[in-house]
Amino acid sequence: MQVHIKDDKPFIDMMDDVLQQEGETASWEHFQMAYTAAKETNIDTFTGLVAPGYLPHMTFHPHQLEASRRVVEEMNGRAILADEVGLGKTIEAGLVLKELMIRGLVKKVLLLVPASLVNQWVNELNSKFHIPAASQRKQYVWEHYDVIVSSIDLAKRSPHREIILEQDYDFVLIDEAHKLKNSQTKNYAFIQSLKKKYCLLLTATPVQNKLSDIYNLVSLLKPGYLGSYKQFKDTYGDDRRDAEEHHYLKELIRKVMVRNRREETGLQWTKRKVETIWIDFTEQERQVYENMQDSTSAAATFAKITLLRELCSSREAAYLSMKKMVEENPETGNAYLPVMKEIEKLPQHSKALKVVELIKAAPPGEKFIIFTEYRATQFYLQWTLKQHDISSVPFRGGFKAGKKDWMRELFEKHAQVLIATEAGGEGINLQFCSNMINYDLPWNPMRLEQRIGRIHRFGQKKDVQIYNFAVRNTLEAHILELLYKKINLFERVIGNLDHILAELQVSDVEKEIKRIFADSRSEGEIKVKLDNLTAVITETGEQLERDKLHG
Amino acid sequence: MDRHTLHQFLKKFFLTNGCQLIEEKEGLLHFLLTPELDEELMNRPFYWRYKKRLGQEGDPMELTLLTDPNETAEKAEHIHFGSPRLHKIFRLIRESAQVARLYEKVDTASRTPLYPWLIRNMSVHFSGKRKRTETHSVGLQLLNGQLATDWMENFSQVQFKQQISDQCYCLSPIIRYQSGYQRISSYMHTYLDTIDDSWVKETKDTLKQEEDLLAHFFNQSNQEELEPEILEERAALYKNELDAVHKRLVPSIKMETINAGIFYLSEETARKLLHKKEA
Repeated sequence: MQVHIKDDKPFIDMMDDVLQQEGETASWEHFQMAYTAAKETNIDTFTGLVAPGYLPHMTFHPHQLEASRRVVEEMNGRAILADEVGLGKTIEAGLVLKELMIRGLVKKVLLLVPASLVNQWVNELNSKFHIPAASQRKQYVWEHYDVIVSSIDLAKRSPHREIILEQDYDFVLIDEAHKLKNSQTKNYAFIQSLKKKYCLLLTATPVQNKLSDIYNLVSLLKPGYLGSYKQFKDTYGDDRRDAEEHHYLKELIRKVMVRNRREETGLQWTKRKVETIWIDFTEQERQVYENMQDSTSAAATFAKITLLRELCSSREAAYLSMKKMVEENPETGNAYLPVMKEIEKLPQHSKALKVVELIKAAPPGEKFIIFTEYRATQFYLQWTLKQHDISSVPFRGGFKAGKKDWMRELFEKHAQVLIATEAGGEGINLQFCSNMINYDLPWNPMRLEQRIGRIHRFGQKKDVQIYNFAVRNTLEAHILELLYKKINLFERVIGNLDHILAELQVSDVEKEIKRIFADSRSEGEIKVKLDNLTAVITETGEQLERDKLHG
Repeated sequence: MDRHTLHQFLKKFFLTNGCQLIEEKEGLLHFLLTPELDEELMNRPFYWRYKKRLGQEGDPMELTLLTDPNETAEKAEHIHFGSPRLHKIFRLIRESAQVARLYEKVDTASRTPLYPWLIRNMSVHFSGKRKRTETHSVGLQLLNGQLATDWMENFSQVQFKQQISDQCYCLSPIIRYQSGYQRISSYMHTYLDTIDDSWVKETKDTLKQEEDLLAHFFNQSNQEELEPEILEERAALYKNELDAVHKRLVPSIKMETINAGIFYLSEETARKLLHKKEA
């Protein structure tokens, strides 16, 4: 065999020494037990993981096992886990950690996850993987526990920061690692300075737009490979497409990144059923909307677009924005005063009444998640539902982690409806609910996908019902009809949308759309421009499909 | 190791180390530790240092282990494969039983000679693109050089003691321990020559790829403009990374002795067990 064989020479000298002294040596039981212990720890197979064998209560999917195996065996435990939303990155990460622990390679572990997910991580590691993880909340546990879950915000603050930086971690995990894309941030520097042997970065969107995204993530795992950012840019440019062409860069990324796509997992997903619920404004509401649209006085067209969107959501949302503008800048803001007067007179919002109607028509106890972009709307909806004896709980990004857990639990066990604002969408799993109402639509398709991902994920047993609410003859109607429906946004179990947007270099879809509305002088113009955007998105998607087929 | 085997293993470990079994039921073991094991396992060095300084005896703690993941009990911890506690116990037992000199327990009225055997248990680590470890137990009779594999497995039911049985006497080895140990190494080399080595080629190919990749990233043309100290820094980094790649991907085999010992064995037992294996 063409390979160096190293013998254990020191042992025999030591043994000779021991035997020459006439003292007692190990007993037969202990000698046998030592042999058993070694034999049990020795893994006599080149392929596959041993951890699943020790977790008989878990069912792993083939793509999860393969992802974990690659991370352990081929990537040497330093990787970006970049599966699409809902494919079980947490499971893969847990499996990697368990495997490394069984092999005796990892003892000291730090997991940095969003504050709202700390408890969920602790629970899953304990119950699913029998990994004794503790959350850093109550006391300073850094030195005393081996496996700690914390939020990055807490960890980077004194005095935790100093203690953490002193530890030699065997394993560091960062959940939602796309937040580390900017290397200029304190978080990035903090992660960079952690001492870590193995490192996992979890993100569903590894490359959003710029090549620098991937540069920064790879640099955390493979420091120095890509040189300084300037060098990197000089070599590869900042265009993602050029980089794709680049053999070596592609190779490097392949060596550090695992990315499963839904369509490739070969799993049967429950269906998505999408229904648009059209709402007609009352005569009175329509009047307010049109007055607002026609008002040419307001300096900023952008502001007007925002207000119109808000009015499609609730009276309160629009009213509060205008009130703020008046307070901040009375001179220009006063132009809004007449409209505000009109809004005050509106008795209700037709859309909210439609929500009540829909929920009342459903079988008793059927759960719904309502997403809205505005907090004012959230309050209003809560109030309205209460008037109609429908129990609901609010959910916001700003809630403390404990409160989020509590709200989620209330929703699961007691309330019929959960009303969430955008930031609330990240990371919580609500697969016990299968109805979603998009009360107003975000203007960024990725955000919409994230919303849907809350319920349409692993563990969802039923088909998912999505209701899109839109008021006829408004901005909202345009977005829904001209953009989302055309790109088949709701039905496609997305997947390649992030790819498409990145390909298009559309860094901010929302801004793009706002600009279309702001710059257009007629309905016709808006339509043409949105049509163009749609066409480009569709074509790029098809192009990507073709590229994939031809290798 | 299934959980029943684990349960028995742990019970034996604590009992043979002198701990007192307070309670045992399906999936649960409750012990009073000895001071020694408390110091090793319970992670409270200050307590023991303090007690020793005061010249007092410490109070060892009780430990309740759950070998059934579905079991619960107060102040108990789940123990299972992969838990750090079990790894610690494995390490302790391995450290404490590296060398043995043991005599077969023989009930006899007549003078019985015992033959010296060198038993060497080994982990053989194959390290390449992927890693695995084989476990071997080889015995060598130190008079005639007879060699036996799977020794621990074949002799697991024999009883050995730390003192020689009445009426028994030991024959002196002709082969020295050192050369016996060496003979087992030679045997292993012969064995390793016979097994599948496709992993070596596979590893070498990957190594080549990774070296190329690394060279590409660290030898880019636009580096001349860099400051000298940055260049130096990058050269050092390159070396580090290359070392790491080599450490991971230069194929190698390492024999590690788990434990070894001199076992004195009656001819009858040896013949019976070794013969049985051949048959």
